[in-house]
Amino acid sequence: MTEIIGTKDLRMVYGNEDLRVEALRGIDLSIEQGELTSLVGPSGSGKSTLLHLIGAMMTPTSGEINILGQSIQSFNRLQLARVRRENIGFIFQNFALVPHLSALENVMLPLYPINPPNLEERATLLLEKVGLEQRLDHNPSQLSGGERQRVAVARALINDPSLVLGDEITGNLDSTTGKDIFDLIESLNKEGMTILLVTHDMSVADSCRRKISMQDGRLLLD
Amino acid sequence: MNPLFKFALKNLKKTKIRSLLSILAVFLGVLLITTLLVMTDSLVAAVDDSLDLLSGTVVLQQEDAVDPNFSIIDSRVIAELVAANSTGGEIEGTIAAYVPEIWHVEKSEAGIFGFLQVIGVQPSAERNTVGVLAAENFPQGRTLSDDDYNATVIGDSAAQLMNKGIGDTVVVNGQNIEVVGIFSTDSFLDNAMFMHINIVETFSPQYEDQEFISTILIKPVDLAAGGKIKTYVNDVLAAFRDENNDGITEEYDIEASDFEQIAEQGRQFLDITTEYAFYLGLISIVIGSLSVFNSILMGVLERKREIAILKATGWTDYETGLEVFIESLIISIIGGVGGLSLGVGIAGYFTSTSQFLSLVVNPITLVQSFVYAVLLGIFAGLYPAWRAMRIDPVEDLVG
Repeated sequence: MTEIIGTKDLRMVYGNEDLRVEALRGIDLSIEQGELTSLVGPSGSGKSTLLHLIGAMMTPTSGEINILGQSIQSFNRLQLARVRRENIGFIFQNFALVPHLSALENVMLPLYPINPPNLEERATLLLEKVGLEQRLDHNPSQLSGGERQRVAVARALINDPSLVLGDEITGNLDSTTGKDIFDLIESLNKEGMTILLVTHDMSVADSCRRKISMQDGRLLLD
Repeated sequence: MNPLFKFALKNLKKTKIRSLLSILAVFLGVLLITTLLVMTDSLVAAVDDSLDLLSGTVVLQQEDAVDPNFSIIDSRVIAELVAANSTGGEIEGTIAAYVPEIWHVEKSEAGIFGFLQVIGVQPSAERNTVGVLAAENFPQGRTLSDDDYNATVIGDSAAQLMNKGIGDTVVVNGQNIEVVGIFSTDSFLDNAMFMHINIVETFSPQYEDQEFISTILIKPVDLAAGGKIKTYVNDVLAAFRDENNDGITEEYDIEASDFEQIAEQGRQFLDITTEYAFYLGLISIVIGSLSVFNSILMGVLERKREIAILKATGWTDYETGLEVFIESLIISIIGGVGGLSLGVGIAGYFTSTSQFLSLVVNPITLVQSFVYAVLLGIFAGLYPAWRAMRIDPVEDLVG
């Protein structure tokens, strides 16, 4: 199997000499293509930091991160942005939709600057895939919480990513809607998508084929 | 439409009032600078036309008089000059006396007040100097003759303002004067009425003594000889003052200038006017720029989280900066094009109500105004764009 994510002795320290917070203390992790993995742990355990590092949103203090074979730990901001655009899809806890754009426009948004051919057709297909073909022109305020998260899922897929990262994707949803969203994620995984979900929701964590626990910046169980 | 451009438009639409106020600020700035520049261009064109008419002429006026209306000189100077010139002088040309006298106020049918200058001339001498009264300048009626004491000829602008034609009567200073001709010279003089000098002299106490006139013009046969004639006339006048030191009056304090010298002063004045118009416009542009800057920067600060989302989904720093920059350009271009169009319209209205200005729209002026608007957008957008570029996807998204 192809390794999608690989980290070696990954460390992240926040603050300065007077106030040092060691968020990650040497993480060694490997996630292969097609895995559906959950990352759990108490608040402050370092799971969000790990997610942001894997998501190429920042660089570590030390250690290595490989995304699809690329070592990104010393990438600059432009190179990290390219990794995000080309390889990664994000789903955020609070949907993170742009309120004055329609569902269709929110899905297209990540690729607006490069405006690839058939962008609108692709976004429409993705919204159909998440069951929102009747809501293309609705703004987020006209959608329910579950529908908004479906738009966020469609947006995460617009760049045809190799890896989808989710941060508390059911955190703002009731249990029924949360389950619907997880079912959607599971169906994407069955199609071959590699997915890593940070969650406090144990039903979500337990439903994933692999569960990683973190505590105090270290991997506890895998 | 490019999606990035469309997104920038939507962002501006989201804060409608703020965006409209910024557009208004740019609009007013560009409107002011365009109106001022187009008006100045029109003024320069009108003055240039008039300068062409008076090219080569030597003008004698009372020393330090800022305008012919403030000049009172002794008409006997003409006889002195003719006498001096007869013994090998430098003047080869025609000498004519003028009395630019009263300002005659008229109200047109449209309710616009016009100020017409009544100029007293020796008709035959005038025809050979400046030549407004030359027969070819009269598409309607006839020119004045030396015995026309109760007649006037008027410029076409003056005729339009007064709604007068050939055979009509104009009341000037309480006297009924018949219009016998309408002339056209494409200069500011088309806004004047010409009458016999003896009649105009009676209109004002300062020239009532017929020995006094306001201006003497000398038209050289060789237009390039103006400078030489000017020097000669000043020498003759200085000698005359020295010889008659005891009996001399202030009406003999006369200075000759060649018209190129006056024209140069006029051009310098217009250059200064243009420069001030430019600076005034620039101030308004800077104010407009500050408004756009404030609006766009506020937008960036309010949308920090949204911009962080864009970055988390793969937008580069450059692309986020570019989007913000496009917003300021859109505001500047919409305000700029609006201001430019209305500025030309307002200048057109002002020139249409003026008696001696025609609208001159110099393409360079239009390009200049548009470039100011674009530069405004660039300067106003640079810092907000830089702020957007520095937004961190983690810090500003997670908080």
